[in-house]
Amino acid sequence: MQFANTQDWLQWILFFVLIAIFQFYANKLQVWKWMNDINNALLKLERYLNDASASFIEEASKYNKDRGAIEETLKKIKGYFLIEPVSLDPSGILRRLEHLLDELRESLDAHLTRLLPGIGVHRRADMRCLVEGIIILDQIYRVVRHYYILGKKTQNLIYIAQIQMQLPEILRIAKAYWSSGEAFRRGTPVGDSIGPLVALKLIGNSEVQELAYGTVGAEIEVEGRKVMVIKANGPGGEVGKPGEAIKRVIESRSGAIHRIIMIDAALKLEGELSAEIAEGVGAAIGDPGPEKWKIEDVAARYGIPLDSIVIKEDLTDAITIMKPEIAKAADEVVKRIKEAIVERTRPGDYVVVAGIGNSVGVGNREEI
Amino acid sequence: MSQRIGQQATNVWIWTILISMAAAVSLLLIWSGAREMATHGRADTISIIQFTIGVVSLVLVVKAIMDISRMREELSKEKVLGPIVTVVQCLDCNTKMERTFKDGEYVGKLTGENCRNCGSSKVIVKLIYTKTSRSE
Ligand SMILES: [Zn+2]
Repeated sequence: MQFANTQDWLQWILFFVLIAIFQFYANKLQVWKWMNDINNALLKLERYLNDASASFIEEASKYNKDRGAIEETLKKIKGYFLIEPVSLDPSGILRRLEHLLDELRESLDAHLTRLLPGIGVHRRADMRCLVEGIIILDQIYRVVRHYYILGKKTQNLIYIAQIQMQLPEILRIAKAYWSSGEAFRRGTPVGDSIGPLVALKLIGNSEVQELAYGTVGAEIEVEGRKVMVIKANGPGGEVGKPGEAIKRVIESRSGAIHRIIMIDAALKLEGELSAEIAEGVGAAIGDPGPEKWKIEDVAARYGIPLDSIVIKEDLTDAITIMKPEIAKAADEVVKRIKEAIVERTRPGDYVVVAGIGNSVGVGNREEI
Repeated sequence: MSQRIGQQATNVWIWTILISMAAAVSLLLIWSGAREMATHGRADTISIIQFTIGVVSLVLVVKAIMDISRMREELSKEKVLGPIVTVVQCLDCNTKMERTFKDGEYVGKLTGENCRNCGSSKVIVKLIYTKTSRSE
């Protein structure tokens, strides 16, 4: 290689020095960029959290003029946690978990009742859902902040990388919970309310009775079959205890039930259509365990066939204001339930239909 | 936490300065590489490298600007959740009507309104949903 003059020499040396510097500092630059990504995400998470808290406080101040007390209670509730029961001794773990979940719900309710005097049970259930969303957002924010600070302190690429790579998913979940607040604040149905909505359509204007905590049911007739339709007690943000209700209905009839049909929203896979309806067997319910266990247990004990109809949605659709395509699927589901009853049972049979899900914005019957 | 908010403001400044500097340097590189090639009438290694680095960094600058503007846009769009509609139906003549959702309404509620078609008071809420379909 020939060099015409010293200027060429200098430029070559400069070029190689530059490359060498980039070699050594590539990692540093990478860390710097990732930390910047996490910082931006953290700001966004903080905004979601603050906005959700602000909308809770605004809603709560309709019942209590003392803003300070509301903020104080919210701060206390935010840190709420549930220690899962020990699984080393699995016997009765679901009963223990149920007990803890009940207690968590009751203590949140107690806080809200004290804070918001004169609030009805339905509105209180909405507020509880709002608070649960805030607890989740707070938890997400704390975890991301933890890794951000840890990464900053240690400059450890592993800490930084593992949080940076999960950021899009984390932000998607956080955004879903943040936007779900609007539904519970205004008391409109969410995607998950499709189960109760279908139940309401079946119930029509029949009288309902309370079957278990936060759960109601009505007996209707479909082509000569008696059908007990079960849903969470609306129109508040309540999921109730459908497992307990089904169990009580079956036991009260000593197992003389010919079929159980459950309707629920199910998490869709990416690529599947939203509001797609699918049928199958098994207990369609997304609770932490106790309710599902009760249904499976009682169905197996009496040998009752257990069918399910699910409506596919993604997380965001399930917890935010009901989307048109999901709302419109309700009539189709009602049709399918009636078909299933006619095809799979005989006149005179007794069928249980349970619309699983959050009953926010969905009443118990057509009030007429 | 106010410290972190301040950090965002400085970040915006730092980004603006860095991006304009990068843009200036890449334009300079392209210009000097092109001039070299034009004056010598042939493409020597240095000017090719200069020109290439210039073009690549210019592309990166454009991409960074696009990223930032997209982030901005998303922030302002987030609050919009779409209008909520209530579908009410008269149980006497089955006339359906769609209107804006009012607080306190729920599916199955007797609205207390009179039917526009037949004047009946049996008007109930049939459905509540948002007009916005899935955007993503
Ligand atoms: Zn009418």
